[in-house]
Amino acid sequence: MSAMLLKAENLSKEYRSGAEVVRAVRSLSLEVDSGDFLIINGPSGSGKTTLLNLLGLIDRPTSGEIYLEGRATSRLSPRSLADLRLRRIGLIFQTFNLISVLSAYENVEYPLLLLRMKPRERRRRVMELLEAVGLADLAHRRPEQLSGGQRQRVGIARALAAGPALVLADEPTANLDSENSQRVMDLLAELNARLGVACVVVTHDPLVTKYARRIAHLRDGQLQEGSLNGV
Amino acid sequence: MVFKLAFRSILRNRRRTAVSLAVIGLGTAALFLANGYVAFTYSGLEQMSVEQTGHLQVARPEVWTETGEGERHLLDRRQQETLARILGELPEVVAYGGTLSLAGIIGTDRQSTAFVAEGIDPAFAFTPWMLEEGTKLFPGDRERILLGRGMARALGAKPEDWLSLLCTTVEGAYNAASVQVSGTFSTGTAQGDARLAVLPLSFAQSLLNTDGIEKLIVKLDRTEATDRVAAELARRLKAAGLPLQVKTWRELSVFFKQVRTMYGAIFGFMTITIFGLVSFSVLEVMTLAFFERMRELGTAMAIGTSRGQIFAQLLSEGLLLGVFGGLLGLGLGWLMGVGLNNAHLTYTPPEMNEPVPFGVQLSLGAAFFHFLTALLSTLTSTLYPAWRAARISIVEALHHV
Repeated sequence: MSAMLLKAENLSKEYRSGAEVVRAVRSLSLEVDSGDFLIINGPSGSGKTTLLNLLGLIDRPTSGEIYLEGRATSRLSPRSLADLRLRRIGLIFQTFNLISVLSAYENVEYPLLLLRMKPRERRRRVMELLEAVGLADLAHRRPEQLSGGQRQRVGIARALAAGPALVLADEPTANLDSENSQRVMDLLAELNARLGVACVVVTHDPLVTKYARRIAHLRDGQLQEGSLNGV
Repeated sequence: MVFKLAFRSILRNRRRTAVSLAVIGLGTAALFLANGYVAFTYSGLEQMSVEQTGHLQVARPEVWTETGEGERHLLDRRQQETLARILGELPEVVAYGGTLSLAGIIGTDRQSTAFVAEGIDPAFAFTPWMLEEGTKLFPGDRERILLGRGMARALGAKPEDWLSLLCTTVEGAYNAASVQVSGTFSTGTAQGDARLAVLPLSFAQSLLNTDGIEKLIVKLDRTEATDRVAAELARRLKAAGLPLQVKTWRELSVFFKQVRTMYGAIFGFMTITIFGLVSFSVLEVMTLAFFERMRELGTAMAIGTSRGQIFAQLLSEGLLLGVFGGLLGLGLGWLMGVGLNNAHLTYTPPEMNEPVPFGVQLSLGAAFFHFLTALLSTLTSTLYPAWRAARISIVEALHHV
């Protein structure tokens, strides 16, 4: 039986846009188990990215609570949240968000340096991840010398570097052609199966849904009734 | 990693970094050269002041506080002997000699002028002014005098000419004597050259009808020992019951003090201006770098970089700019300083008759100080952008275009 990894309880997020108060996420509850592969889809403006930011602990909810491995997170300090993100959560971005002055190798190495991993172990870990994403030969290329698909694979390797329990991906295929999209999703699915890392992927790409174990439909900041069923 | 990332980050926009380094470098070089010039001038003035006043002077306190002449201001024979014994016990003392000043009228049968003269001991290698013509005074000389060159010109006097001199004794009686011109000297100022004269102490004493001296001038083996020896001498004088005061060349040289104050103000103003210029330049660069890289900083924070690490990251970029800019400035300043020193330039300051050398004192201590100044200014101006960067909202930073 899989253990519960993440639990969102009555989560709401409001923000101001001029004079208007936007309710991006409304009283949403969600659970993610270890080894889960959850796809959250929905139209633009449905609150997918806001929800992912909340689950990734890079934004604070207006109300509600997020439990990561049973630990409530809403009262944690910025430093503790940064440490949790570093050790337990891997983030994959739509626009790859690699550090442009660092090579593929150094981008993957970055979280390991924050973890103060020993050099020999770090080197082994980085090369292992780059081999897993098929980029060991391009390790010393800078992001601008890589294609979109290659950059996203570096992004995946970086997200997995610190050995997270949960990977959150925000539209990981939105900037890729269909061939690269499939390759990236195959890779995520393989890593999910092989490493047992839970994946939550926010997307409105219908091709991605085939990788899901569960699919959640989001509309107006709320999960659609009965949408969290397994596939 | 922090420095690797910082180094690569400052190379992102090479033109902007080059402008920043140029501003920091030129600012540091300008400060280093200005400081070198001031130090060179201080050193020259220090040497000149010491030559004019000796390292130390010992006299009764009234000599420096009251005007006019009189027996009560002079050191009598017994006091001079006690003083000589005490000075003989101080190893730093190289030489000493008494002085006695007098004023009067000096002239030929055609014209005359008022003068102020200093009676000195010719055996004591104390030559306050630069000899221009004739010969200096020698031990055993009696009725001989060195004239300021302006006074000599006004009187039409040349070396070996005889002049008449009129003054009053310490008791107030008139006294007159003939005196032979030994040579002429330049004080460096027109005012001094027109009024000052130097004659043997024994002759001055006979003119004033006294065996006393007004001051005892002391030369030390090195200028740095001045304050220590002054304190020790004052202590011994007090222990010996002599009511005398010791003054150092720094206290006596009004000109040195004025120049030092003036240069201190100019240099302070210049330092603040250049410090501000460098700081604003770096502030602009770091603020631009912060806005340009906001998304990247947001990503770094999203994947687990703490606020403190972001702050340290940007601060180390400022540190690197400071290190490279400072080193560039010192290299440039040192080369320019060597060039200026080898050019052997001279200039004539206001109120001076003689050109003085223009040079720059190059020292490792000053180089280190200005390197630290460059570093401090860049670090100071990086603090605010780094602080702001560390406090950005990750979500807003990730959406920054």
